[in-house]
This record gives sequence, structure tokens and C-alpha cells, in this order.
Amino acid sequence: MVYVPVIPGDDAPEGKLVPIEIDGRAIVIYREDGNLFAIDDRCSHAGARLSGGKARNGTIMCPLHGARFNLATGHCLSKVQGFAPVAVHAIRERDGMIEVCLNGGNMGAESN
Amino acid sequence: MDGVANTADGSYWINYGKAEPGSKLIDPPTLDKIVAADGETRDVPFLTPGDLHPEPRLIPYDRYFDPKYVALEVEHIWDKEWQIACREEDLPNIGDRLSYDIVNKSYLVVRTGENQFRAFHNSCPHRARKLCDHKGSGTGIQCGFHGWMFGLDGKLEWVPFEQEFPHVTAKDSSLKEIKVESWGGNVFINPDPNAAPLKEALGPLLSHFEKWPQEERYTAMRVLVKVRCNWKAAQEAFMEGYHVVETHADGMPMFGSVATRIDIWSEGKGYVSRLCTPGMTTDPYVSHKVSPHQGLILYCNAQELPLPPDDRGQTPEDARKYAAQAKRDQLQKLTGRDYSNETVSYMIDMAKYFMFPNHHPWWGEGLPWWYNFKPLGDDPNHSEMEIRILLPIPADGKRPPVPEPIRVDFDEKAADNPALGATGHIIDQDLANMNAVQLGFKAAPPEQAFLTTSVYQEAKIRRFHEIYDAKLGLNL
Repeated sequence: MVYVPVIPGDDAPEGKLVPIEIDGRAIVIYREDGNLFAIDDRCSHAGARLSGGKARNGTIMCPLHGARFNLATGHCLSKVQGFAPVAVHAIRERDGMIEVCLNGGNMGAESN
Repeated sequence: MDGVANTADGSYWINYGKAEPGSKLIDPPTLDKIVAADGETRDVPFLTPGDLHPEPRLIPYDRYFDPKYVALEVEHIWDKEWQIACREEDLPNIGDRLSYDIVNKSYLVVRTGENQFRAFHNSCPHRARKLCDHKGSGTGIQCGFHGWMFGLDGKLEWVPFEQEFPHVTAKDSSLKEIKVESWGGNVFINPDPNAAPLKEALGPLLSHFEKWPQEERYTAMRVLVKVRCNWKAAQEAFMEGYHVVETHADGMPMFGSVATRIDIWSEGKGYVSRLCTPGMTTDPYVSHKVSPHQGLILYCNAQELPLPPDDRGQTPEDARKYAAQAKRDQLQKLTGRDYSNETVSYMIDMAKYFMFPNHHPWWGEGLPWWYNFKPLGDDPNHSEMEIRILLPIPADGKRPPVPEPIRVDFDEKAADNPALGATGHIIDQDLANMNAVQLGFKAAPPEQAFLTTSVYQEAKIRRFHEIYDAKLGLNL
């Protein structure tokens, strides 16, 4: 488990989808009700950037066709067959910095 | 450029080409700025903003062609929602009736008083024959099969050879009535006996049209067009101004489609939204090729208004002002009504409201149209678009007679009908894509078999499906 500092905490205010890159991997960070989430910035349905979508109540919605995912687990909430989960990553805030620990596999239900 | 040299030849439009592929719009104009430049913001209802911004939404294509949705729509929409059966002027005299057919249901709508309408299931309680095929008139309602007779109130009044039917009573065998209410000269029906009053479904329409009562308008033209696509896809073509750039490219000199403003309301229980496209505003995609004066010439030509002198329309603001005044003069001449207090926006902008499930009333004189869309029978691939041009009734209050509808069958061109003229041209442009859209729904690869909707200009379509999913109990 290696946490990598990515951005200052102030750069991820409540309710804002913040796209970042770690080792060439696109991740989107989101803070809601004080909880931090990190999820791959790529929809498992048709590959669009999730960071251009909307998030609320612990879910993120893809802007392209509207697929919905649980931010904590990555599971698809849309009841349409064939939408895989999106990988989520452990995330924390230390000394004013947001740190992300990349999930090694393609998928995980790990959260902080 | 093809120029504006000769508009005296009776052609409606001049081709200025299309938006250049690859071109981008930087800081396009907004409707609010255009209207503010008119310098008169009173009584412009689209300055009342909507309060809802629909989220991204999964809208699968199968709902446009899978027959299972036809049955769900009957159960959850057509059996439950307020829908327009006709305009009041379609039934000018007491006893006039018509058949309103929706999917496989039919209702008989009859005028029973000066301001009273009733509607019944259009089926004889004896052996089912539809009581009204299309339209008719009379002091009672008589079945064409065995002659059973009902009053305009639906009560069974006479059974020929009645001793054959000792078991039949007026109580059990009268016509089953459904709810009817009128608003704006439109006769709405609702088959659901538990339906909430119409006013709840009208939501903001009530206040937005208060000063411009639609009952003071009449049907000057009525067109029924059969379309080879699902009714939802057909009406969604009219829920955004985004299609103008390609579909009505020749209208860009006079319709500022990119400045279209979208408003969606959560107010009350009404499911209402609106788009408003400025009229006599040159679209920025072609504004480098068309001067405001040239756009104004085209506008006047298309709207049959007197052409502007050389010194008018030299600025975008003056082009709007000239167009609005010409329109005021034109309507005053036609109706004897006074339009001097109406804003530029009311006279030339094009504001179209939408009321779930299928009604599209336009506000203002810019494009005083009225649309309804419905499935044609139970085939999800067929629909019917009804278009009316609603003009103000003359100041003397005398309603002109209702014209017979002009019918445009599958694969016919509306412009081929001499009675339609410029209107036919626009209808053809709009509907030219529809069958190809329906085919495209079925041709899509699985991962793309979902609508891709724009953030803002196509938000009304997402709102429709939010409501649709909720009504049908679809949880996607």
C-alpha cells in the first residue's frame, strides 16, 4: 500500500470532480460530505471521462450516456447488462495533501 | 456566397451554406443579451427561469422500437395522463363529436354545451362497435350497428326491439365517461378516474400564458403527418434548437439557434419545459456571410412582410425592431387587434413549451404553432405529428371556420401540397431525418445504443425520460 500525494486538499473542494493523473492513469477525485473518493476516470461502458459528468449522493454519472457508479465501490448502479465496475482507489488527506493509493488490479471494492 | 440578390422570385430561402466543418463558436450570443438589447424586458415570460437541470441519464434505444414499451406506455401514460383530444373549435356546435384514437383505445369527445365537453369510451356497450368513426354531429349518439341510442350525456335512451333485452338497464349500459377539461381552447381528456385536476399538469403554463390566452386563437391551418418513427423520437426532434444548424441550415440567417435558451420546471406537478430561439437573429455560424439587413430581407420574405428599405436592419437590433413592427402591422391588418404594446420578443421570438407527455404549444407570434405527437396504432415504428397554426381571432370575435386537416401520408412530401407552401418546406426538413433515426436505433452497436445528449441544449430530452422512466416504473 503506497500512498502518493497528488494535490493539495484545497484543490478538491466539496462537490467538485477533480481529474488527476497518477503514473499515466486518469483518476477523478471527489469530496462529498467530508468523504473523499478516487475512481478511474474512464467509464466501463463506452470509455468516456467520468470527470465530465455529475456526482451526488455517493454516485457518479457518466456524461456520455448516463451510466451510474457507486463512488465507494465502483459498482455500476445502472440495471443494464454488460456495464462492468470501475476501479476505485484508496484515498486520504494528510498534512493538507490528498494522497491516493492505486489499486493494483483492474477492479476493487476497497475504500478508505 | 450565394447572395441575397433576388428574393423577388417567390423562393422562401436562400442558401448561405452550412456551418463550416471544424468551425467552433467562441462566446456565442445568448437569448437574454439579444432580448436585453431590444430595450424592453416587460412581459417576456422566458425571463422567468426554470429551476431544474437534469442529470446525465441512461436512455436506451430499445424504448423507441420494442413493442413491450407500447403496452407500458398505454398503461402508464395514455391511460393516466392529461392529453389533448382536439381544439374546442373542432367541435363548433352542440352535438358535434369526434373520435380521439390513441394506440388501440378510442374516446368519443362531444360538445354538450356552449362551454362544456364530455368524453366517453368510444365503444357500444351492446356489441362494441365504435360509436363515432371519425367525426359527426347530432342531438344524440347512435350506434351504427343495431341503432342503440344514447344522449349526449352518455345515458342509454333507446334500445330497438327492447323486449329482447329485459336484462339491459340505463344504469349498467350507458356510456362510460372519462374526465374532460379545457385549457387554452384545447380539450384535454384523461381516462384515469383518479386523475388530479388538469391545472396540476399544466404547472407554469397557467401563469405564462395568462396574458396571452390561447382560447382567443383559432386553427388557421391543421396538418396531420404520418411519420415512420417512434412518437418519442419524433417529438424529441422538436425539443432542441440544435438541429437548426444542419436540418434548417437555410434558416440560419434569421434564426439564432445557438442562442436558444432552455428552461425546465419542477414547479408543482406539471412536467413543463421550454425552449426559446430568437427570431430575426443571424446565427453566428453564418453571420460573417450574411449582414443583418440581408437576414432581414430573408425573414420578411419568409414571413410575407414588406421588405425593408435600405436604411433599416443595418444593425441586429434594428433588424429585430423592423421585423417586429412589420409583424405588428401585418397582424393588426389581419385581425383588427392592437399589437402596439406587445414586445419585440413576443412578435418575433420562437418560444415552444412542452407539457408531458406530448403537447408542444408555442408562445408569441414568431411561430404561432402548436404540435401534438402520438403513436399511430400499436406499431412503435409509426407516429403521427399534428401541427396547427393558431392565429388570433379577429377583434370582432367572429371565429373563422375550421379548415379540414391537410393529411400528409407516409413518404409524401408536405411541400408538394400547394396549401402548405413554406410550412411544408419546414415540415419536410424536420421529418426527413425521422425514418433514418428509427433505423439507426436498431443499427447501433450495443455499447452505443443509448442517447448521447448535450449538457444544455438537449436537456429537455433528458427531462422527458426522467419523467418517462418514473411513470413507467423503469429503474435504469
